[in-house]
Amino acid sequence: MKVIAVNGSPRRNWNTAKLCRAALEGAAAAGAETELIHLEAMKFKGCMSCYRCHSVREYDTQVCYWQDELTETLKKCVAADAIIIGSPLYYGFATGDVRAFMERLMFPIDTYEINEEGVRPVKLDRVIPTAMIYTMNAGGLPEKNQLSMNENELRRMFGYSESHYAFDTCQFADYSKYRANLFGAEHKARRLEEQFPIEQERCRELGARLVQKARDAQAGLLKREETRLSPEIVEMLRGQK
Amino acid sequence: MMKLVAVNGGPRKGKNTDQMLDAFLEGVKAAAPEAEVQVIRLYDYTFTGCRSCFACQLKKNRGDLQCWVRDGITQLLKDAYHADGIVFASPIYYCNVTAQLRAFWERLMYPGVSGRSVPTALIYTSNADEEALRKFMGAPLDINSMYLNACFHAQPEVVTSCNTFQYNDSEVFDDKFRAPAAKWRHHEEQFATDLQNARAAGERMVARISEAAQ
Repeated sequence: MKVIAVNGSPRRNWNTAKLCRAALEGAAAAGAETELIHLEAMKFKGCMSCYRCHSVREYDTQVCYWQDELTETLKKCVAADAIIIGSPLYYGFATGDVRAFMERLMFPIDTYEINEEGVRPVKLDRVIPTAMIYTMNAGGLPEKNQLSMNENELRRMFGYSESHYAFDTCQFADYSKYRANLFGAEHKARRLEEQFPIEQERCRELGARLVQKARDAQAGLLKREETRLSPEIVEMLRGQK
Repeated sequence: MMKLVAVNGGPRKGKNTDQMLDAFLEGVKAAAPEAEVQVIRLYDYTFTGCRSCFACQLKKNRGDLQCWVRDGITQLLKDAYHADGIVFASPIYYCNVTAQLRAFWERLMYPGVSGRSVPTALIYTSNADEEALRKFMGAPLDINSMYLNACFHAQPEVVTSCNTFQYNDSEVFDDKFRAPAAKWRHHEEQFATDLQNARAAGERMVARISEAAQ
């Protein structure tokens, strides 16, 4: 049982990294072998649109054809039993680094196909439970936000996905140095002291839960959560309406 | 002299996003032959997203308009901060612009809030057709516009090309989901109009820059 957490924050020991570590602690306590990978340590780009992973010749491949420092991590992820992706929120979305990683993680197991039931199949037949952990300065998410997109795509690729949101995080060790009078140093210090341990505990629970989901998947008890598209939507997606 | 920066966030040369951006720039040149245009092809550079060093947020660096991370795009960001207008072009990958453009935006917008109004434009190309783009990705794309508006004090003009033709080798790519013939037909019927729309948006960009300068 191997659980991988990918820390998409450039900071290796701040909120996102700490929550990734907490999730892995929970997974380890539930009996998993764990590994924390920092995207910040690697040089890589997003998807090159070579479409090689979608070609008939390379159809069985599940790892991005493009070779760079990310390649090893991509291989580890599709071989893992559960994947956790941590990202701070930058301008309402996961970081560019995280998105580059996700483009190259998802497209090689994705297909441009659809079956009779209106399900878009992927190349991965087993379930790899996944979770996103978001940290953000903002106190909440607007009703219309972009983050459900990541969860939905991860669910479609890996069969199971959930998200944890840590709001109103403390960004700076010393607020007096920064242009940040919007937030209030005392409020942020209190959030760090009072709320952050709660977030860590929730992430420990998340890690343990993913291990249980992974065990269920291996025992055949957790089936893919599949979205069936209506014929109208299929027609629309096909651009033939 | 009017200075425009064009940021291409797509990886493929000569394909849809590239052609749409070229058309936009043709429109700019038609309306303002003297305009200086700098094209930045993001995939040609080695760079990362924001490193959260927060140097740009330090009180002592107030108003510096620079990203303190030193890598392949440091100078390009400076060029963009001082442009009169910026156009961004990107294919849609999983409901948003490419990671390369997201990374560029992080580095551009976090240090880059000035009081100046800088007109921007967004060119999106998408495999999804227009209705699907609006239905499933409308919210994310609106949020991009919202942040650009907050940073540059001007609502971006959005140009789209949807249901694009992605690849044309039917022996290599077996696309059971979308009939390639239908995609090609749509391309033949629609893409020239999309290019025309991009050209017109380029012409309007010149007018918007002139207005912002007054």
